[in-house]
Amino acid sequence: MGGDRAQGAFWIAVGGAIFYASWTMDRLANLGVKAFSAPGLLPGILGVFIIVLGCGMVLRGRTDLSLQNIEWRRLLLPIALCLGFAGGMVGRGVPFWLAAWIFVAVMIWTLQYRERKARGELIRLAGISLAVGAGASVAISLVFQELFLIRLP
Amino acid sequence: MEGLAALGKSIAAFSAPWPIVYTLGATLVGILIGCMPGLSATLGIALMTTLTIKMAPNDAILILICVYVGAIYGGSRTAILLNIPGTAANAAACLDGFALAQKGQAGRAMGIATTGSVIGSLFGVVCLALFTPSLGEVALTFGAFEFFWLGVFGVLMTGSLTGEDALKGWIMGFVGLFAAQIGQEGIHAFNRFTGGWNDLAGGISLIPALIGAFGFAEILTVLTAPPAKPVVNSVDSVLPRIADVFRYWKTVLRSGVIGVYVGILPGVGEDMAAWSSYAAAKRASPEREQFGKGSVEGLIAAETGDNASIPGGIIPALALAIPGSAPAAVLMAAMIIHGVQPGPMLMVNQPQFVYDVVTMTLFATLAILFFGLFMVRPLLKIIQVPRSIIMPIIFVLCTVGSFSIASRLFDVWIMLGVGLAGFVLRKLGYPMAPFVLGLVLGDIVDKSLRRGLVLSDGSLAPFFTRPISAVICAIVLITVFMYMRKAWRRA
Repeated sequence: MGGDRAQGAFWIAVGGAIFYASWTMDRLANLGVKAFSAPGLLPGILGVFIIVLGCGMVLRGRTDLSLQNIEWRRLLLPIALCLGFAGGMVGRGVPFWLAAWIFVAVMIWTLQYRERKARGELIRLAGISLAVGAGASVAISLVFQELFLIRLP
Repeated sequence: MEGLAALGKSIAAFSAPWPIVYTLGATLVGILIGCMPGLSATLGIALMTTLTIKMAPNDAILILICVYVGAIYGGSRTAILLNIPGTAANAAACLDGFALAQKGQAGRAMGIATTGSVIGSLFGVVCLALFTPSLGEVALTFGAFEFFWLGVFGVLMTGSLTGEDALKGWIMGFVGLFAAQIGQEGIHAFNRFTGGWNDLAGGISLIPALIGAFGFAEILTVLTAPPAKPVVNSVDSVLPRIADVFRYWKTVLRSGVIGVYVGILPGVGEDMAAWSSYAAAKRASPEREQFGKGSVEGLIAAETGDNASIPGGIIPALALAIPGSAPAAVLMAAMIIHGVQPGPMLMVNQPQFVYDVVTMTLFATLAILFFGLFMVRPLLKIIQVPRSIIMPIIFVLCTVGSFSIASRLFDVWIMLGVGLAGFVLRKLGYPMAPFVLGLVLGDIVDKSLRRGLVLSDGSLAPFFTRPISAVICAIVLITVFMYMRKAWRRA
């Protein structure tokens, strides 16, 4: 996804897929529905517009290095933790308060590890992580479940 | 007179102890959300929608409006003290607010921001009360053809004006419109693009998608940004100086008008209102060389403009069901969840509700005045809490918020998917606001197009020949033409 050309090609592919799926969608003619009221009408038009705009990007052809400037390595662990918590722990038998506690504590530990290690404060960091995690999980559980009567996952 | 009586009734109803407690509590929450860079007004409203889902409709919507007004105002704190706008709407306030803070006038800057925000909001509230019923009446004459063009106009305007690249903005708008087509459509109850997946039949839920786009994506964005420390640890007096307001009354009035106007434009939002007001003030000012170096006039213009656009954005959301900004889109979705149906029929079916919203916005404005005067020092402490502590907690809230709307784990996956895609797209310069507006307007555009074609028996002519339809269509075409001309000249 280095620049306009690659992004434009991506959008042309997306628009093409949308148009194809809309074109081949059931037009409900057997129910007496006219073509201009078929369910695929607007999505098909949108597919065409996305293709046109994608072509515009390809023709413009600017370069873009935004994605290369992201420190992906620094981000991968937080992303993995977020996916692990929301996709792997929540709603899969682990009590919510425990999942939230573990997630918040591990995430704070991960994000502050380098800085605190340099200052020799790892034990303090562990204490802060566990305390904030416990406080946050209890507070969120109480506010949602007890105060606003909302079911937690 | 009828309007005044309805307004009086609303004010009396909301002057009870609990609504006042909700107003103060929710405005404070909004200010805190606004204070924290990375948390937007849109995310605040989306999260609070999930929290207030079981409350009485009027209480829930009061809370959401207070969060909205509070968040836009609260963002000026970090703009002044950290040179980082708390919300996108406060970016213009950074220029002069931070410069004033560096000169040792942080308190004065915050006082000016409070004054500008309060006056802007009050101006907007008056416009909300005056224009919503009239616009609602005009909208009663609109048919499917006009609503189709209004929807398209909203998406194209957002695409053109939010972000730096109209082409990318339009793509996001069309992708949002497409995302709204997923699931069971509203005319023949046919499942589109679901691949036989039952969870998708209900469509992509707006609130989880918004939480992903403005929550998860923002968390990842914040984690990639270098941490910022406040340069100002003490402030001078925060009491607003009335002399500043009187001296720049023309700027205040102009910014209020611009803020409301920009707010009414579908999907354009508070940030554009602040920048437009700032630019207009700079053009008209005899002290224009001071702009960007700590100009009181610049700061007051930006803050009046962004807060005036809040009620401005609510006007089309109530009268036309076409929101004026991304936060107004979430607010509109919340109204629908609570059984209020915004649109032309609102003034017919629930006329009192419009005045209730006016009162709610008025109460929220008074609350920001209260907190602006008395909560400055505690807020200084709050913005010093490291992001590495705030962001994990926000992510837990995002997860709970996505789940709690319909108690479906599928919505959590929507949040994660939209968030990850949103993060990458934002890094590539694709704005999120057009996507949100597309998602909100997708249903109206689809139904209006097909209903219009059924009414005209397949003829496209009424889309171009009915007077209002023709005017909106011309504006859409002019917008596209102007962009293309600009792009051609650049090439």
